[in-house]
Amino acid sequence: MIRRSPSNVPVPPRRSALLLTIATLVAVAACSGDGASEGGASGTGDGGTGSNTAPPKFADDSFRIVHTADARWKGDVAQREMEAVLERFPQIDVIYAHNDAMARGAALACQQKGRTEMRILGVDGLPDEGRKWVEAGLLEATYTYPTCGDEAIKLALLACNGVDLPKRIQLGTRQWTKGSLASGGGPINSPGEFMFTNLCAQNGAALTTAPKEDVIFRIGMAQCTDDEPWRVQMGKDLKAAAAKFPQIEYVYRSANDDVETQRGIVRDFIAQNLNAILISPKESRALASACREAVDAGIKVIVIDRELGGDDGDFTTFIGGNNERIGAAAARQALAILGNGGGTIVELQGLMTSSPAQERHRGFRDELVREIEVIHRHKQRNK
Amino acid sequence: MRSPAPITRALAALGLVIGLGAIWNGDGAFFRPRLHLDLLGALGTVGLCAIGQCLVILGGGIDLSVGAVVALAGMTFAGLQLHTELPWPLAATIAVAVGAAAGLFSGTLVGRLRVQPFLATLAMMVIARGLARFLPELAGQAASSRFIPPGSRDPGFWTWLAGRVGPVPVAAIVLVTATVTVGVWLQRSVFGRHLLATGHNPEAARLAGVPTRRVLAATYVLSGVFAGLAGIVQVARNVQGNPSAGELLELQTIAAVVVGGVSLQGGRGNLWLAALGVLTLGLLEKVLALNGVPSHWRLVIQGFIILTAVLLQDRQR
Repeated sequence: MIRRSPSNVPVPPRRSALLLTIATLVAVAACSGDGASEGGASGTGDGGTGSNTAPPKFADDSFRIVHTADARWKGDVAQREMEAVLERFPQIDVIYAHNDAMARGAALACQQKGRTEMRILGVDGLPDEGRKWVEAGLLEATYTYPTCGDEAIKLALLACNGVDLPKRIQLGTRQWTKGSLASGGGPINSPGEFMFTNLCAQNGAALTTAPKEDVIFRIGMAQCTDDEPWRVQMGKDLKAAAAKFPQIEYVYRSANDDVETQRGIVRDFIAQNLNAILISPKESRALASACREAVDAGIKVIVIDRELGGDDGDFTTFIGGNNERIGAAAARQALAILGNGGGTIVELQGLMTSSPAQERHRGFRDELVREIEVIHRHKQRNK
Repeated sequence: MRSPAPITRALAALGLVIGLGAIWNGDGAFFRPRLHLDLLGALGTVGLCAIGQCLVILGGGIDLSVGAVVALAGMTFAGLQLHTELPWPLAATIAVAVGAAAGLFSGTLVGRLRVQPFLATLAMMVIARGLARFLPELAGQAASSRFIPPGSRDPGFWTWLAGRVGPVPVAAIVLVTATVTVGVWLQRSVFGRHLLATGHNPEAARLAGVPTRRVLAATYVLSGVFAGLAGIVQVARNVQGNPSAGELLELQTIAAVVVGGVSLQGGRGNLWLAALGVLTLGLLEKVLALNGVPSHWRLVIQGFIILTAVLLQDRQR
C-alpha cells in the first residue's frame, strides 16, 4: 500500500461514531413512528389516500391484510419487497398486485424461496404478459385494464362527425383465469360499456369504413410515454383502430414522460389545425390549459385513461378504464380463494401518488370490507 | 496501513445495523441464517457494480453509467438468449463485452481526451439507456419493451443463476468470488499500487512513471465488465431483460462505496471497505423492510446515512 504523508490529520474516531449514532437514532425514530401508526386500526379505508399503510378493520378478524407495500409499479421492487414479506410471514394466502409486472415479481420471489401456498392476482391482462403468466401458472388471475385504443378512435370519429358525446365513459374489465383464457376472459361490464355500444349503434353512418373520397379527418395522439408495455399496447391498439378507417389520417407522438414536451405536442397539433386530438395526459392539471386552447380552436379533444383535472369545458370527452371495479373484482376473487375461513392477504401497490394505484387500492379495500361484513353476518346467524 | 480507522468505522457501521436488526428483528426473521444468505444473493447486482465503481473511485473518478450499462448488457444477454437461441456462455461473453466496450468508451474519454469523469460517464449513461431501449426493435418488438421468456419455459442457465447450491444462492457465490478475487488482486498487484498512486496524486504518479492514462481507462473498462456481469445476474433473478433495469444503481453503488469509507477524492481505500458498504446498506434496507417501514421513509433514512458518511469523509482531509 502507499505510504501517506503524516500531514493528513484523521478525524478522531469518537466523533464519527457519534455522528453515526445520531443517524441511527433518526432511523430508529422513523421506524418506531411507523410501527405505531401501523398498530392502530383506523377507518374503513373509505377513500383517503393517507390510509394506504393502515390495515382496514374487517368485521371478521380471521381475514387480515398482513402487509401493504408501495412497489411503484415495478416488478423488481415488488420482488424485493415480497422477499422480506416471505421472511416475516410463514403463511400468505393471497397476493394482490396493482399490475402484472409486480404480480410476476412477487411470484418469482415465492418461487425462488420455494413457497407455493399463495395465489396471486394481477392487473393489466396484456396478451403477451399477464395472460401468458396466468397460462404458465405464475398468476391465478389478471384483470384487463382497457387501453381504450379502439374506443378512442371511434369517439374521435363520432366527434368529428358532430355527434354529441357524453362527458365521461368508463369501460369495464375482463377477468382472465386459466379456465377463461381460451374463451376470451370473463367480462365484468360497466354502464360505460353499454353507453359506448349504444352510441356506436345509433351513429353507424359516422363509423363507416367506406366513406366518400373527399372526407379526411386528421387525428393526432399525444401520448405521455412509451415506456411501459401497457402504453406500447395502447399505441398498437390506436394504430390498428385508425387503420380500419380510410377517412382518418392518424399521427402519433410521444412526450417521453415530459409534461412540457406533451404540451408542445398539443400546441403543434393546434397549429396544424387537426380535427381531433387524443391525449393521455402525463399529469392532470398541467395539460388542461393546452387542451382548452384546442377546444377553443374548434378541435375535438378526447382524453384517454387519465383525467385532465380541469373543468369540463377543457375537453370533449373522457374515456378510461374503471380501476375501482377492477379492485373490487380482485377482492371478490381473493375472497373466493380464501373461503369463509379467512386468511392472510398482501397488497403490492403501484405508485400511490398516481390515481390508478389509489383507485385499485380503494376498490379492493372497500369491497373486502363490504363482503367480509356479509360473511361475518352469515357466520353469526349460523352459530 | 497507517491508521486502522476506516475499516474500524466501516465495521462499526455494519455492527450498528446488525444491532438494529437484532432489536427490531421482524418476529425473529432476522435471526434466520437463510435470510442473510438470500440477502447476499439479492445484493448480487449492486455488489458486482460496486466493485467496478470502487475501482473507478479509487482512481479519482466516478462512473454514472453503471446502471444503464447493467440494462444494456442485460438486454443484450436476454435478447441473444431468447431470440437467437445462442448458448449461454456465448451470450454472456457478448454481454460482458458490450459492458467492456461501454467502459472503454468512457475510459477513452477520460484517459485520452481528458473529459471530466462526471460528464463522460453521464453521456455514456444516456447513450447506454437509449441503446437498451432500442434493442427490442432488432428483435422485431416495440422499442422499450422487455425481453421476457415466453410461457413457463425459462432458459436453464437463468434458473440456475437465480437458484442455489445447497442453501447458498448462486448469485451470492458469484459476488463473493468476484469481490475476494479483485480485492486480493488490488492489494497484491502492481496495478493496484498504480491505481492508488494515480488516484492520490495523478501528477506525482505520472512523474514516478505510472502510466496514469492507461490505469484510469482500465478502471472504466473493468467497471463496464462488472456492470455487464451484474446485468446477467439481474436478468436471471428478475427473469427478464428490462431496459429500465438498474435505475439509480449508479447512486446506490456510489453510496455503498462512500459509506464503506472509500474517499471520493480517490487514492484512499480498498475494495473491502466498499464491500462492507454494500453489506451495510443492503442489510439496513432489509431491516427496514422486515419492519414494514414504508419505502418513502426508507429513502429518507438511507439519505441521512449517506450524508453522515460523506460528512465524516470531508473532515478526513
